Amino acid sequence: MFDWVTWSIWFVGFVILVIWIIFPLKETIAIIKAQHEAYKKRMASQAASHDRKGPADDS
Amino acid sequence: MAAIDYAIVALFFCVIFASGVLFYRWVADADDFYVAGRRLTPFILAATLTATNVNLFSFIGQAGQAGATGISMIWQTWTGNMALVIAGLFVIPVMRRLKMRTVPEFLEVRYGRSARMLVAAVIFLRLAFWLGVIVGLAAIVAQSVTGAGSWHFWIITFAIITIAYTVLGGMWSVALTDVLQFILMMGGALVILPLIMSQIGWWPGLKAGLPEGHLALVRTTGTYNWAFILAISLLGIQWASTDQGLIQRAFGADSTKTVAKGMVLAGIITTPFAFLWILPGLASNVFFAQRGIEVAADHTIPVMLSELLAPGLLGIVLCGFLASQMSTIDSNLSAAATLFVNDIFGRIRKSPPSDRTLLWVVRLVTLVAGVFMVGFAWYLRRGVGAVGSYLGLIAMLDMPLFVIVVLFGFFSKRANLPGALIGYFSGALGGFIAMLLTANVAEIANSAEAITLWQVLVEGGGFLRISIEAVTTAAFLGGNMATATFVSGGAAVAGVLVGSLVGKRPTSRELEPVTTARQVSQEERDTGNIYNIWPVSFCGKLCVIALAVAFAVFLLGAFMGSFAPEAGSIIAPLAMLVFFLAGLARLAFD
Repeated sequence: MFDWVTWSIWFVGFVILVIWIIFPLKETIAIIKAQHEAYKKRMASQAASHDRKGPADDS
Repeated sequence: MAAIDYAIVALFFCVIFASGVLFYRWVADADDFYVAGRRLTPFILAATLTATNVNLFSFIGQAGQAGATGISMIWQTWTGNMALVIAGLFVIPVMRRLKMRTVPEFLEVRYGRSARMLVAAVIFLRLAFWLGVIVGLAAIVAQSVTGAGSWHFWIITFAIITIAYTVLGGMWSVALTDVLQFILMMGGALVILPLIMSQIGWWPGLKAGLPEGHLALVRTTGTYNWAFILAISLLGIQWASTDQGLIQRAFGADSTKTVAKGMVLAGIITTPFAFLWILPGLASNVFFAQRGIEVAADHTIPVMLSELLAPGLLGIVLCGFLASQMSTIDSNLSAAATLFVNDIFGRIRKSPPSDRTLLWVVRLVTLVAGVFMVGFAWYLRRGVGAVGSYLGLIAMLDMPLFVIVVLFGFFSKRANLPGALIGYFSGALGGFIAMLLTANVAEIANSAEAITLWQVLVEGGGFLRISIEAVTTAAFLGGNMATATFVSGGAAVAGVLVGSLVGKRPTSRELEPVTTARQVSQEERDTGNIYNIWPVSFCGKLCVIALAVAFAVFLLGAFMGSFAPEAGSIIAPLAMLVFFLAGLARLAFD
């Protein structure tokens, strides 16, 4: 006989999992992209400020 | 465990470690490390809150207890979820507006600097203790399922991996790996449920095989009875309002509105999800009874899994379990380090440290918190179980924190620094004494039957046989949590009331930051992302009233367990459902 109780609970869990794969992953990917861009910009500005100081400042 | 399972687990560890290295580059300042630059979005926030909330304590500790004592254990999760809704709608938005990183920071804003430092030191130790509980559970599971390596080997493995990626990437690592860990955890739980239920003849087999009363949601007797539900409801609100590991994530939200959305979503989602570990726990009772085997509560699920799961599948489920645990360990490690650096180190120094110095110190303290974690795990190994130790701890230390932060910090104009300090420490002491007096000291007192220290004292004799060390251990592990909660809460309230009479009444200027934070902030007006704690629209107000009424009916349903448990078992969960619907509608309407 089909166990309605167990499979209903399982189905609700499955729906939550699907929702959780779609929405948070979407937001995570967007954040990773934005953070990566911010990191590249920060590195570029640090490199530019290093160039402006010149090699003598390194010592 | 087969080679493929080991390969899957090794791959999982590598991915998690690599994420730490990747996110290391993003950490530019202390705010990035502490609260992920305050850029977390609603679903990421909900995922990370849920991943922190659900761990092996649920899958192994609570499931094992459910098998041993019945389904009423589920209220620990459900009341926690209701508390997330309450704290998310009314408490945490206020703290988020104050731009804080830790709970003790609120204590300085409201009471003064010494309250912040003293309480921070206690919470740091309490977090390290909790870390010891959860890393110990992870080692039990890994050892039971794999059958390989010693308990010490697994403790060290978990410690190295979690400390490494938390030290490197801070809250960015913690929050974003939580999303992956949440998916793995849910996947693992969905594999286990039908597999275990099929072994015992599904739901009819479970009903027939369980001892009487095991399926009653609200009970008159037993450890997890109606008094437990009331006590854990109080502790749940305290946990959701003041737990550093939890609310540090909430402080990472990109707006006040996101805090409310993320916390309400996290609470509602975990509610049906709780069945995914409570049902297997109940099934384990029938499973082992059918085979005539006796297994300790914390070991039932791991032993069952190692017997039932096919190679490959075992590796995936084990990853899900380990993921659930690592997400809790990393967040609490990060919380402990943030707390120490922000509230103790930052206060001791005369000049404010640079971001670079802060980052190095917070990483070093994460490492130290990890060492404490391993130490406590070894200490707790002598105890009787993870659930008992944790509940005892929160009853003693967390309830007084809730009293001084939320009850008096938010709602009293008279409470002051002496009141907060006396309230906190008298509450903790009261809880400890209650745990001590209600602890089962049968073994220590050479008694054949369960006996509490209180009985030993009242009946006389035997007291001298009980050493201080043995009593301390018993107090942590075997006392009555419900009694300790009410005593610690009551002692804290009395302490604040009496203590506040000693010092001066706070001026309106001193109270201003908290009063202002109840209103919509300038940042919210500028961005147009406005969140009103007390709704403006009629429907919003109606939802808040429905929420309050549903919560009151729920408490009544739980109390009915003392004289009409059947009716209470229907009223309490129904009221909980209405409560969640009202919470969700509150977000939608206003």
